[in-house]
Amino acid sequence: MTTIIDTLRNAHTTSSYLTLPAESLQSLYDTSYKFVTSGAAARSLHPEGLYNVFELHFFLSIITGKDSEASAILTTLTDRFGQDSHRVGVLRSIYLEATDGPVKALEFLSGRQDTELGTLKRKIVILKSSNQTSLYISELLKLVDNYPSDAESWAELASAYLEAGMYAQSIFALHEVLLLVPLAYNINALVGETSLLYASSLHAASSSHSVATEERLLEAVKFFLRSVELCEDYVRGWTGVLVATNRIAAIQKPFSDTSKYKRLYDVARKALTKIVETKDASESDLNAAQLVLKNY
Amino acid sequence: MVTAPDLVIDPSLRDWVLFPILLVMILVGILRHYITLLLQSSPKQLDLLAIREQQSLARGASLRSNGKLIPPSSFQSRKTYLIQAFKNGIFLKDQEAFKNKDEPKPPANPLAEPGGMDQMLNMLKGNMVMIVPQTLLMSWINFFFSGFILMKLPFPLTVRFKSILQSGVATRDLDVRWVSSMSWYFLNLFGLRSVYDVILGSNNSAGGGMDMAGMNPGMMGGGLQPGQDIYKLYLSEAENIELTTHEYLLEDIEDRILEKYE
Repeated sequence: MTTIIDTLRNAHTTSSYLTLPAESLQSLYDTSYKFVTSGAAARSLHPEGLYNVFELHFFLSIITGKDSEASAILTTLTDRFGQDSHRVGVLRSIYLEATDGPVKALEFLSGRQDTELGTLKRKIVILKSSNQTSLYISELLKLVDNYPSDAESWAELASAYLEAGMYAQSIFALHEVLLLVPLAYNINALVGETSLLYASSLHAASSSHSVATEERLLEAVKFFLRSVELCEDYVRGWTGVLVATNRIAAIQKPFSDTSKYKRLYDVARKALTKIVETKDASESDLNAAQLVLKNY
Repeated sequence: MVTAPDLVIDPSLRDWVLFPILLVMILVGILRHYITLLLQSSPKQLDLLAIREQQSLARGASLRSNGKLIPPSSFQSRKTYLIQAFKNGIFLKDQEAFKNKDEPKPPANPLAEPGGMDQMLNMLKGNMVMIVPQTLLMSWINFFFSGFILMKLPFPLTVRFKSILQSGVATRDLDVRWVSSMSWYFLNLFGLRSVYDVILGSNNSAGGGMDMAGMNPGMMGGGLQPGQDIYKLYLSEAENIELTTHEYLLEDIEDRILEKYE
Protein backbone atom coordinates (compact mmCIF):
# COMPACT_ATOMS: atom_id res chain seq x y z
CA MET A 1 0.00 0.00 0.00
CA THR A 2 2.69 2.46 0.95
CA THR A 3 4.56 1.86 -2.27
CA ILE A 4 1.51 2.81 -4.33
CA ILE A 5 1.09 5.97 -2.32
CA ASP A 6 4.76 6.79 -2.77
CA THR A 7 4.61 6.23 -6.52
CA LEU A 8 1.62 8.52 -6.86
CA ARG A 9 3.01 11.16 -4.57
CA ASN A 10 6.30 11.09 -6.43
CA ALA A 11 4.56 11.44 -9.75
CA HIS A 12 2.71 14.47 -8.42
CA THR A 13 5.66 16.32 -6.90
CA THR A 14 8.04 15.70 -9.80
CA SER A 15 5.40 16.05 -12.55
CA SER A 16 7.03 13.00 -14.11
CA TYR A 17 3.73 12.08 -15.78
CA LEU A 18 4.28 14.87 -18.29
CA THR A 19 7.21 13.08 -19.92
CA LEU A 20 6.30 9.41 -19.46
CA PRO A 21 6.00 7.10 -22.46
CA ALA A 22 2.48 5.93 -23.28
CA GLU A 23 2.54 2.49 -21.62
CA SER A 24 3.86 3.69 -18.25
CA LEU A 25 1.40 6.56 -18.40
CA GLN A 26 -1.43 4.10 -18.85
CA SER A 27 -0.26 1.96 -15.96
CA LEU A 28 0.15 5.02 -13.76
CA TYR A 29 -3.38 6.03 -14.70
CA ASP A 30 -4.67 2.56 -13.80
CA THR A 31 -2.94 2.74 -10.45
CA SER A 32 -4.34 6.15 -9.62
CA TYR A 33 -7.78 5.13 -10.86
CA LYS A 34 -7.85 2.10 -8.59
CA PHE A 35 -6.53 4.14 -5.72
CA VAL A 36 -8.99 6.99 -6.08
CA THR A 37 -12.09 4.85 -6.68
CA SER A 38 -11.37 2.18 -4.08
CA GLY A 39 -11.80 4.56 -1.19
CA ALA A 40 -8.49 3.40 0.20
CA ALA A 41 -7.20 6.86 -0.55
CA ALA A 42 -9.38 8.64 1.96
CA ARG A 43 -8.40 6.24 4.70
CA SER A 44 -4.67 6.14 4.24
CA LEU A 45 -3.67 9.67 3.35
CA HIS A 46 -3.42 13.00 5.07
CA PRO A 47 -5.96 15.35 3.42
CA GLU A 48 -3.33 17.40 1.66
CA GLY A 49 -1.70 14.32 0.14
CA LEU A 50 -5.11 12.97 -0.75
CA TYR A 51 -6.10 16.02 -2.77
CA ASN A 52 -2.71 16.09 -4.45
CA VAL A 53 -3.39 12.55 -5.63
CA PHE A 54 -6.81 13.68 -6.83
CA GLU A 55 -5.16 16.45 -8.78
CA LEU A 56 -2.69 13.98 -10.26
CA HIS A 57 -5.56 11.71 -11.26
CA PHE A 58 -7.24 14.67 -12.96
CA PHE A 59 -4.13 15.40 -15.03
CA LEU A 60 -3.71 11.73 -15.91
CA SER A 61 -7.34 11.50 -17.01
CA ILE A 62 -6.93 14.55 -19.22
CA ILE A 63 -3.72 13.26 -20.77
CA THR A 64 -5.13 9.81 -21.42
CA GLY A 65 -8.30 11.30 -22.86
CA LYS A 66 -10.79 10.16 -20.24
CA ASP A 67 -12.96 13.24 -20.10
CA SER A 68 -15.79 11.87 -17.98
CA GLU A 69 -13.34 10.63 -15.35
CA ALA A 70 -11.67 14.08 -15.32
CA SER A 71 -15.03 15.76 -14.98
CA ALA A 72 -15.98 13.53 -12.04
CA ILE A 73 -12.79 14.22 -10.14
CA LEU A 74 -13.07 17.93 -10.93
CA THR A 75 -16.54 17.93 -9.39
CA THR A 76 -15.18 16.29 -6.26
CA LEU A 77 -12.47 18.91 -5.96
CA THR A 78 -14.88 21.75 -6.64
CA ASP A 79 -17.24 20.44 -3.97
CA ARG A 80 -14.44 20.42 -1.47
CA PHE A 81 -12.70 23.72 -2.25
CA GLY A 82 -15.38 25.77 -3.99
CA GLN A 83 -15.31 27.67 -7.24
CA ASP A 84 -13.10 30.41 -5.87
CA SER A 85 -10.04 28.29 -5.22
CA HIS A 86 -7.51 29.28 -7.81
CA ARG A 87 -6.11 25.78 -8.16
CA VAL A 88 -9.56 24.45 -8.95
CA GLY A 89 -9.96 27.32 -11.42
CA VAL A 90 -6.78 26.27 -13.19
CA LEU A 91 -8.00 22.68 -13.39
CA ARG A 92 -11.37 23.75 -14.75
CA SER A 93 -9.71 25.85 -17.44
CA ILE A 94 -7.59 22.85 -18.43
CA TYR A 95 -10.72 20.72 -18.61
CA LEU A 96 -12.52 23.32 -20.71
CA GLU A 97 -9.56 23.63 -23.05
CA ALA A 98 -9.47 19.88 -23.52
CA THR A 99 -13.19 19.51 -24.14
CA ASP A 100 -14.59 22.80 -25.49
CA GLY A 101 -11.48 24.33 -27.01
CA PRO A 102 -9.22 27.25 -26.06
CA VAL A 103 -11.81 29.98 -26.71
CA LYS A 104 -14.14 28.66 -24.02
CA ALA A 105 -11.21 28.26 -21.64
CA LEU A 106 -10.11 31.86 -22.20
CA GLU A 107 -13.65 33.03 -21.62
CA PHE A 108 -13.74 31.17 -18.33
CA LEU A 109 -10.36 32.51 -17.25
CA SER A 110 -11.23 36.12 -18.02
CA GLY A 111 -14.09 35.83 -15.54
CA ARG A 112 -11.64 35.09 -12.75
CA GLN A 113 -9.44 37.30 -10.64
CA ASP A 114 -6.43 38.21 -12.71
CA THR A 115 -3.92 38.49 -9.90
CA GLU A 116 -3.55 34.76 -9.38
CA LEU A 117 -0.33 33.42 -10.79
CA GLY A 118 -1.99 30.21 -11.96
CA THR A 119 -4.74 32.01 -13.86
CA LEU A 120 -2.27 34.39 -15.49
CA LYS A 121 -0.07 31.52 -16.58
CA ARG A 122 -2.99 29.56 -18.02
CA LYS A 123 -4.09 32.58 -20.07
CA ILE A 124 -0.62 32.97 -21.52
CA VAL A 125 -0.23 29.27 -22.23
CA ILE A 126 -3.45 29.26 -24.22
CA LEU A 127 -2.00 32.14 -26.26
CA LYS A 128 0.95 29.94 -27.10
CA SER A 129 -1.19 27.51 -29.06
CA SER A 130 -2.49 30.39 -31.21
CA ASN A 131 0.97 30.86 -32.78
CA GLN A 132 1.29 34.58 -32.06
CA THR A 133 4.89 34.50 -30.92
CA SER A 134 5.43 38.22 -30.39
CA LEU A 135 2.23 38.57 -28.37
CA TYR A 136 3.13 35.46 -26.42
CA ILE A 137 6.56 36.86 -25.54
CA SER A 138 5.24 40.27 -24.57
CA GLU A 139 2.66 38.68 -22.27
CA LEU A 140 5.38 36.54 -20.70
CA LEU A 141 7.47 39.66 -20.18
CA LYS A 142 4.58 41.28 -18.36
CA LEU A 143 4.27 38.18 -16.20
CA VAL A 144 7.94 38.09 -15.16
CA ASP A 145 7.80 41.81 -14.50
CA ASN A 146 5.04 41.22 -11.97
CA TYR A 147 6.30 37.89 -10.63
CA PRO A 148 10.09 38.11 -10.94
CA SER A 149 10.61 35.28 -8.49
CA ASP A 150 8.75 32.63 -10.47
CA ALA A 151 11.37 30.42 -12.09
CA GLU A 152 8.90 28.59 -14.31
CA SER A 153 7.87 31.79 -16.10
CA TRP A 154 11.48 32.72 -16.76
CA ALA A 155 12.18 29.25 -18.14
CA GLU A 156 9.15 29.49 -20.43
CA LEU A 157 10.30 32.92 -21.59
CA ALA A 158 13.71 31.45 -22.36
CA SER A 159 12.22 28.70 -24.49
CA ALA A 160 9.98 31.19 -26.30
CA TYR A 161 13.00 33.35 -27.13
CA LEU A 162 14.93 30.28 -28.19
CA GLU A 163 12.16 29.31 -30.60
CA ALA A 164 12.23 32.83 -32.01
CA GLY A 165 15.99 32.54 -32.50
CA MET A 166 16.81 35.31 -30.02
CA TYR A 167 19.64 33.53 -28.26
CA ALA A 168 21.06 36.38 -26.17
CA GLN A 169 17.64 37.09 -24.66
CA SER A 170 17.07 33.41 -24.06
CA ILE A 171 20.36 33.12 -22.19
CA PHE A 172 19.43 36.16 -20.13
CA ALA A 173 16.19 34.52 -19.04
CA LEU A 174 18.00 31.27 -18.24
CA HIS A 175 20.49 33.17 -16.08
CA GLU A 176 17.52 34.55 -14.22
CA VAL A 177 16.30 30.98 -13.60
CA LEU A 178 19.74 30.06 -12.29
CA LEU A 179 19.60 32.95 -9.83
CA LEU A 180 16.38 31.51 -8.44
CA VAL A 181 17.21 27.80 -8.62
CA PRO A 182 20.98 27.71 -8.22
CA LEU A 183 21.38 23.93 -8.31
CA ALA A 184 19.32 23.19 -11.43
CA TYR A 185 21.80 21.12 -13.50
CA ASN A 186 19.36 20.85 -16.38
CA ILE A 187 19.14 24.63 -16.67
CA ASN A 188 22.92 24.83 -16.66
CA ALA A 189 23.02 22.38 -19.56
CA LEU A 190 20.31 24.39 -21.29
CA VAL A 191 22.42 27.55 -21.01
CA GLY A 192 25.25 25.57 -22.58
CA GLU A 193 23.07 24.37 -25.44
CA THR A 194 21.70 27.84 -26.10
CA SER A 195 25.23 29.24 -26.10
CA LEU A 196 26.23 26.60 -28.64
CA LEU A 197 23.33 27.56 -30.89
CA TYR A 198 24.21 31.20 -30.42
CA ALA A 199 27.78 30.49 -31.45
CA SER A 200 26.59 28.67 -34.56
CA SER A 201 24.34 31.54 -35.56
CA LEU A 202 27.12 34.07 -35.00
CA HIS A 203 29.46 31.90 -37.03
CA ALA A 204 26.97 31.62 -39.86
CA ALA A 205 26.44 35.38 -39.87
CA SER A 206 30.09 36.39 -40.06
CA SER A 207 31.28 33.33 -42.01
CA SER A 208 34.67 33.57 -40.34
CA HIS A 209 35.78 32.82 -36.85
CA SER A 210 35.33 35.76 -34.46
CA VAL A 211 36.07 36.56 -30.85
CA ALA A 212 32.36 36.59 -30.06
CA THR A 213 31.85 33.08 -31.42
CA GLU A 214 34.74 31.75 -29.43
CA GLU A 215 33.52 33.41 -26.26
CA ARG A 216 30.13 31.76 -26.70
CA LEU A 217 31.76 28.36 -27.17
CA LEU A 218 33.95 28.74 -24.08
CA GLU A 219 30.96 29.80 -22.06
CA ALA A 220 28.98 26.83 -23.33
CA VAL A 221 31.72 24.51 -22.08
CA LYS A 222 31.69 26.21 -18.69
CA PHE A 223 27.95 25.71 -18.21
CA PHE A 224 28.01 22.11 -19.46
CA LEU A 225 30.82 21.41 -17.01
CA ARG A 226 28.83 23.00 -14.24
CA SER A 227 25.89 20.71 -15.01
CA VAL A 228 28.03 17.57 -14.81
CA GLU A 229 29.65 18.93 -11.68
CA LEU A 230 26.21 19.04 -10.11
CA CYS A 231 25.02 15.74 -11.57
CA GLU A 232 27.80 13.32 -12.44
CA ASP A 233 25.85 10.98 -14.72
CA TYR A 234 24.05 13.67 -16.68
CA VAL A 235 24.17 12.47 -20.27
CA ARG A 236 23.02 15.78 -21.69
CA GLY A 237 25.78 17.62 -19.86
CA TRP A 238 28.53 15.25 -20.97
CA THR A 239 27.38 15.17 -24.60
CA GLY A 240 27.36 18.95 -24.49
CA VAL A 241 30.92 19.02 -23.21
CA LEU A 242 31.92 16.63 -25.96
CA VAL A 243 30.29 18.62 -28.76
CA ALA A 244 31.48 22.01 -27.52
CA THR A 245 35.08 20.97 -26.94
CA ASN A 246 35.08 19.26 -30.33
CA ARG A 247 34.02 22.54 -31.92
CA ILE A 248 36.71 24.43 -30.06
CA ALA A 249 39.33 21.94 -31.21
CA ALA A 250 38.23 22.52 -34.79
CA ILE A 251 39.02 26.24 -34.61
CA GLN A 252 41.99 27.05 -36.82
CA LYS A 253 43.40 30.10 -35.06
CA PRO A 254 41.94 30.38 -31.59
CA PHE A 255 42.14 33.73 -29.81
CA SER A 256 42.84 32.16 -26.46
CA ASP A 257 44.67 29.13 -25.14
CA THR A 258 42.59 26.05 -25.94
CA SER A 259 44.94 23.28 -24.87
CA LYS A 260 42.76 22.49 -21.84
CA TYR A 261 39.80 21.70 -24.02
CA LYS A 262 41.47 18.79 -25.76
CA ARG A 263 41.86 17.17 -22.36
CA LEU A 264 38.27 17.98 -21.43
CA TYR A 265 37.18 16.33 -24.68
CA ASP A 266 38.91 13.12 -23.61
CA VAL A 267 37.36 13.30 -20.17
CA ALA A 268 33.89 13.72 -21.61
CA ARG A 269 34.40 10.86 -24.08
CA LYS A 270 35.53 8.60 -21.27
CA ALA A 271 32.60 9.51 -19.06
CA LEU A 272 30.07 9.00 -21.84
CA THR A 273 31.58 5.68 -22.89
CA LYS A 274 31.35 4.52 -19.31
CA ILE A 275 27.70 5.55 -19.06
CA VAL A 276 26.90 3.75 -22.32
CA GLU A 277 28.74 0.60 -21.22
CA THR A 278 27.08 0.41 -17.84
CA LYS A 279 23.71 1.44 -19.35
CA ASP A 280 23.34 3.90 -16.51
CA ALA A 281 20.69 6.09 -18.15
CA SER A 282 17.30 5.99 -19.83
CA GLU A 283 16.86 4.37 -23.25
CA SER A 284 16.62 7.63 -25.20
CA ASP A 285 19.56 9.17 -23.35
CA LEU A 286 21.71 6.14 -24.18
CA ASN A 287 20.79 6.35 -27.85
CA ALA A 288 21.64 10.04 -27.92
CA ALA A 289 24.95 9.38 -26.18
CA GLN A 290 25.87 6.70 -28.71
CA LEU A 291 24.97 8.99 -31.60
CA VAL A 292 27.10 11.81 -30.21
CA LEU A 293 30.00 9.46 -29.50
CA LYS A 294 29.91 8.29 -33.13
CA ASN A 295 29.68 11.73 -34.72
CA TYR A 296 32.01 13.86 -32.62
CA MET B 1 9.65 10.11 62.30
CA VAL B 2 6.05 11.01 62.79
CA THR B 3 3.89 10.63 59.74
CA ALA B 4 0.65 12.47 59.51
CA PRO B 5 -2.35 10.26 58.90
CA ASP B 6 -3.01 10.07 55.20
CA LEU B 7 -5.84 12.00 53.66
CA VAL B 8 -8.71 10.07 52.25
CA ILE B 9 -10.41 11.52 49.23
CA ASP B 10 -14.10 11.13 48.69
CA PRO B 11 -14.57 9.15 45.45
CA SER B 12 -17.35 11.49 44.39
CA LEU B 13 -14.69 14.22 44.16
CA ARG B 14 -13.13 12.13 41.43
CA ASP B 15 -16.46 11.48 39.69
CA TRP B 16 -17.92 14.96 40.00
CA VAL B 17 -14.90 17.26 39.88
CA LEU B 18 -11.77 15.64 38.49
CA PHE B 19 -13.32 13.99 35.44
CA PRO B 20 -15.76 16.81 34.65
CA ILE B 21 -12.95 19.35 34.57
CA LEU B 22 -10.95 17.11 32.23
CA LEU B 23 -13.96 16.49 30.00
CA VAL B 24 -14.95 20.13 29.86
CA MET B 25 -11.41 21.16 29.01
CA ILE B 26 -11.24 18.70 26.13
CA LEU B 27 -14.63 19.75 24.79
CA VAL B 28 -13.76 23.42 25.06
CA GLY B 29 -10.54 22.75 23.17
CA ILE B 30 -12.43 21.04 20.35
CA LEU B 31 -14.95 23.85 20.29
CA ARG B 32 -12.15 26.38 20.14
CA HIS B 33 -10.63 24.54 17.21
CA TYR B 34 -13.82 24.74 15.18
CA ILE B 35 -14.54 28.33 16.14
CA THR B 36 -11.05 29.32 15.01
CA LEU B 37 -11.67 27.55 11.70
CA LEU B 38 -14.95 29.41 11.26
CA LEU B 39 -13.47 32.78 12.10
CA GLN B 40 -10.50 32.39 9.80
CA SER B 41 -10.77 34.74 6.87
CA SER B 42 -9.32 33.51 3.62
CA PRO B 43 -6.01 35.14 2.73
CA LYS B 44 -6.60 38.26 0.71
CA GLN B 45 -5.26 38.51 -2.79
CA LEU B 46 -2.83 41.34 -3.26
CA ASP B 47 -3.18 43.34 -6.42
CA LEU B 48 -0.57 42.88 -9.11
CA LEU B 49 1.39 46.02 -8.34
CA ALA B 50 1.69 45.10 -4.69
CA ILE B 51 2.95 41.65 -5.61
CA ARG B 52 5.50 43.22 -7.94
CA GLU B 53 6.58 45.61 -5.22
CA GLN B 54 7.35 42.77 -2.83
CA GLN B 55 8.81 40.26 -5.26
CA SER B 56 11.24 42.74 -6.76
CA LEU B 57 12.89 43.02 -3.40
CA ALA B 58 13.43 39.25 -3.40
CA ARG B 59 15.03 39.57 -6.82
CA GLY B 60 17.77 41.71 -5.36
CA ALA B 61 18.37 39.17 -2.63
CA SER B 62 18.64 36.28 -5.08
CA LEU B 63 21.10 38.24 -7.20
CA ARG B 64 23.25 38.80 -4.14
CA SER B 65 23.25 35.19 -3.01
CA ASN B 66 23.38 33.39 -6.36
CA GLY B 67 25.07 35.99 -8.55
CA LYS B 68 28.25 33.94 -8.51
CA LEU B 69 26.64 31.44 -10.88
CA ILE B 70 26.31 33.76 -13.84
CA PRO B 71 29.06 35.34 -15.96
CA PRO B 72 30.54 38.67 -14.81
CA SER B 73 29.01 40.69 -17.63
CA SER B 74 25.59 39.26 -16.93
CA PHE B 75 25.97 39.98 -13.22
CA GLN B 76 27.18 43.50 -13.84
CA SER B 77 24.30 44.47 -16.07
CA ARG B 78 21.75 43.14 -13.55
CA LYS B 79 23.54 44.91 -10.74
CA THR B 80 23.44 48.25 -12.51
CA TYR B 81 19.83 47.81 -13.51
CA LEU B 82 18.57 46.76 -10.08
CA ILE B 83 20.43 49.51 -8.23
CA GLN B 84 19.02 52.12 -10.59
CA ALA B 85 15.54 50.64 -10.39
CA PHE B 86 15.57 50.47 -6.61
CA LYS B 87 16.86 54.02 -6.26
CA ASN B 88 14.33 55.42 -8.71
CA GLY B 89 11.57 53.44 -7.08
CA ILE B 90 10.21 52.06 -10.35
CA PHE B 91 8.84 48.96 -8.62
CA LEU B 92 6.81 50.97 -6.12
CA LYS B 93 3.09 50.50 -6.45
CA ASP B 94 2.31 54.06 -5.52
CA GLN B 95 4.29 56.21 -7.96
CA GLU B 96 2.36 59.32 -6.99
CA ALA B 97 3.39 59.09 -3.37
CA PHE B 98 6.97 58.45 -4.42
CA LYS B 99 7.10 61.72 -6.37
CA ASN B 100 5.90 63.63 -3.34
CA LYS B 101 8.16 61.81 -0.97
CA ASP B 102 10.04 64.95 0.06
CA GLU B 103 6.96 66.47 1.57
CA PRO B 104 6.64 65.72 5.25
CA LYS B 105 4.03 63.09 5.90
CA PRO B 106 2.39 61.92 9.09
CA PRO B 107 3.83 58.81 10.71
CA ALA B 108 2.41 55.74 9.03
CA ASN B 109 -0.62 54.35 10.75
CA PRO B 110 -0.88 50.57 10.51
CA LEU B 111 -4.66 50.81 10.70
CA ALA B 112 -4.84 53.04 7.65
CA GLU B 113 -3.70 50.28 5.33
CA PRO B 114 -6.43 47.78 4.52
CA GLY B 115 -4.01 44.86 4.87
CA GLY B 116 -2.91 46.02 8.30
CA MET B 117 -6.47 46.33 9.51
CA ASP B 118 -7.17 42.75 8.47
CA GLN B 119 -4.14 41.47 10.24
CA MET B 120 -5.01 43.25 13.46
CA LEU B 121 -8.53 41.92 13.32
CA ASN B 122 -7.28 38.37 12.84
CA MET B 123 -4.99 38.64 15.82
CA LEU B 124 -7.81 40.06 17.87
CA LYS B 125 -10.10 37.19 16.88
CA GLY B 126 -7.46 34.64 17.82
CA ASN B 127 -6.93 36.24 21.19
CA MET B 128 -10.64 36.46 21.91
CA VAL B 129 -11.14 32.78 21.16
CA MET B 130 -8.39 32.04 23.63
CA ILE B 131 -9.22 34.47 26.41
CA VAL B 132 -13.00 34.22 26.67
CA PRO B 133 -13.27 30.47 27.37
CA GLN B 134 -10.27 30.64 29.67
CA THR B 135 -11.85 33.32 31.78
CA LEU B 136 -15.14 31.45 31.95
CA LEU B 137 -13.53 28.14 32.85
CA MET B 138 -11.35 29.67 35.48
CA SER B 139 -14.19 31.48 37.18
CA TRP B 140 -16.28 28.30 36.99
CA ILE B 141 -13.64 26.32 38.81
CA ASN B 142 -12.91 29.12 41.21
CA PHE B 143 -16.54 29.52 42.09
CA PHE B 144 -17.49 25.88 42.60
CA PHE B 145 -14.32 24.00 43.40
CA SER B 146 -11.94 26.46 45.00
CA GLY B 147 -9.67 24.83 47.55
CA PHE B 148 -10.53 21.28 46.53
CA ILE B 149 -7.90 18.59 46.66
CA LEU B 150 -8.57 16.25 43.79
CA MET B 151 -5.90 13.59 43.59
CA LYS B 152 -2.58 12.28 44.77
CA LEU B 153 0.31 11.79 42.43
CA PRO B 154 1.82 8.29 42.64
CA PHE B 155 5.40 9.60 42.87
CA PRO B 156 7.19 11.88 45.31
CA LEU B 157 8.15 15.43 44.36
CA THR B 158 10.28 18.18 45.85
CA VAL B 159 8.81 21.12 47.70
CA ARG B 160 9.40 23.39 44.72
CA PHE B 161 6.40 21.90 42.95
CA LYS B 162 4.08 23.09 45.67
CA SER B 163 3.24 26.33 43.93
CA ILE B 164 2.46 24.49 40.71
CA LEU B 165 0.41 21.66 42.15
CA GLN B 166 -1.37 23.33 45.02
CA SER B 167 -2.42 26.75 43.81
CA GLY B 168 -5.54 27.87 45.59
CA VAL B 169 -4.79 25.75 48.67
CA ALA B 170 -3.10 27.65 51.47
CA THR B 171 -1.84 24.73 53.54
CA ARG B 172 1.87 24.86 54.10
CA ASP B 173 2.37 21.37 55.48
CA LEU B 174 0.43 19.40 52.91
CA ASP B 175 2.46 16.86 50.96
CA VAL B 176 3.39 18.12 47.48
CA ARG B 177 1.83 15.08 45.87
CA TRP B 178 -1.69 16.33 46.49
CA VAL B 179 -3.08 18.27 43.53
CA SER B 180 -5.62 21.04 43.90
CA SER B 181 -8.50 21.79 41.53
CA MET B 182 -7.00 25.02 40.22
CA SER B 183 -3.72 23.24 39.50
CA TRP B 184 -5.57 20.42 37.77
CA TYR B 185 -7.08 23.05 35.51
CA PHE B 186 -3.66 24.48 34.68
CA LEU B 187 -2.18 21.05 34.09
CA ASN B 188 -4.97 20.37 31.61
CA LEU B 189 -4.58 23.75 29.96
CA PHE B 190 -0.94 23.14 29.17
CA GLY B 191 -0.94 19.37 28.82
CA LEU B 192 -3.85 18.52 26.55
CA ARG B 193 -2.00 19.39 23.37
CA SER B 194 -1.24 15.77 22.47
CA VAL B 195 -4.79 14.70 23.24
CA TYR B 196 -6.05 17.30 20.77
CA ASP B 197 -3.52 16.05 18.26
CA VAL B 198 -4.99 12.58 18.54
CA ILE B 199 -8.60 13.76 18.27
CA LEU B 200 -8.28 16.52 15.68
CA GLY B 201 -5.10 15.62 13.87
CA SER B 202 -1.95 17.67 13.98
CA ASN B 203 -2.04 21.35 13.02
CA ASN B 204 -5.22 21.95 14.99
CA SER B 205 -5.89 25.20 16.75
CA ALA B 206 -7.44 23.74 19.89
CA GLY B 207 -4.44 24.68 21.97
CA GLY B 208 -5.22 28.27 21.10
CA GLY B 209 -2.44 30.72 21.55
CA MET B 210 -0.21 28.43 23.62
CA ASP B 211 2.08 27.38 20.78
CA MET B 212 1.60 30.57 18.84
CA ALA B 213 3.14 32.75 21.48
CA GLY B 214 6.46 32.65 19.68
CA MET B 215 5.22 33.12 16.18
CA ASN B 216 2.66 35.43 14.77
CA PRO B 217 0.98 34.29 11.58
CA GLY B 218 1.30 36.92 8.94
CA MET B 219 4.47 38.31 10.43
CA MET B 220 6.27 35.23 9.16
CA GLY B 221 7.56 34.36 5.73
CA GLY B 222 9.31 37.62 5.09
CA GLY B 223 6.00 39.38 4.69
CA LEU B 224 6.08 43.09 5.07
CA GLN B 225 4.72 44.58 8.19
CA PRO B 226 2.07 47.19 7.74
CA GLY B 227 3.27 50.71 7.92
CA GLN B 228 6.79 49.87 6.86
CA ASP B 229 8.30 52.15 4.25
CA ILE B 230 9.23 49.88 1.39
CA TYR B 231 11.28 52.53 -0.33
CA LYS B 232 13.71 52.47 2.59
CA LEU B 233 14.02 48.70 2.14
CA TYR B 234 14.73 49.28 -1.54
CA LEU B 235 17.47 51.76 -0.72
CA SER B 236 19.15 49.39 1.70
CA GLU B 237 18.84 46.54 -0.81
CA ALA B 238 20.45 48.75 -3.47
CA GLU B 239 23.28 49.44 -1.05
CA ASN B 240 23.68 45.74 -0.33
CA ILE B 241 23.85 44.92 -4.01
CA GLU B 242 26.39 47.66 -4.54
CA LEU B 243 28.59 46.13 -1.87
CA THR B 244 28.38 42.65 -3.36
CA THR B 245 31.52 41.57 -5.14
CA HIS B 246 31.26 39.07 -7.92
CA GLU B 247 33.29 35.89 -7.70
CA TYR B 248 32.46 33.82 -10.73
CA LEU B 249 32.02 30.25 -9.57
CA LEU B 250 32.58 28.89 -13.06
CA GLU B 251 35.86 30.77 -13.55
CA ASP B 252 38.08 27.73 -13.03
CA ILE B 253 35.55 24.98 -13.54
CA GLU B 254 37.62 23.44 -16.35
CA ASP B 255 40.48 22.86 -13.91
CA ARG B 256 38.14 21.53 -11.25
CA ILE B 257 36.65 18.96 -13.61
CA LEU B 258 40.03 17.98 -15.04
CA GLU B 259 41.42 17.52 -11.57
CA LYS B 260 38.50 15.32 -10.63
CA TYR B 261 38.46 13.07 -13.67
CA GLU B 262 42.06 12.85 -14.86
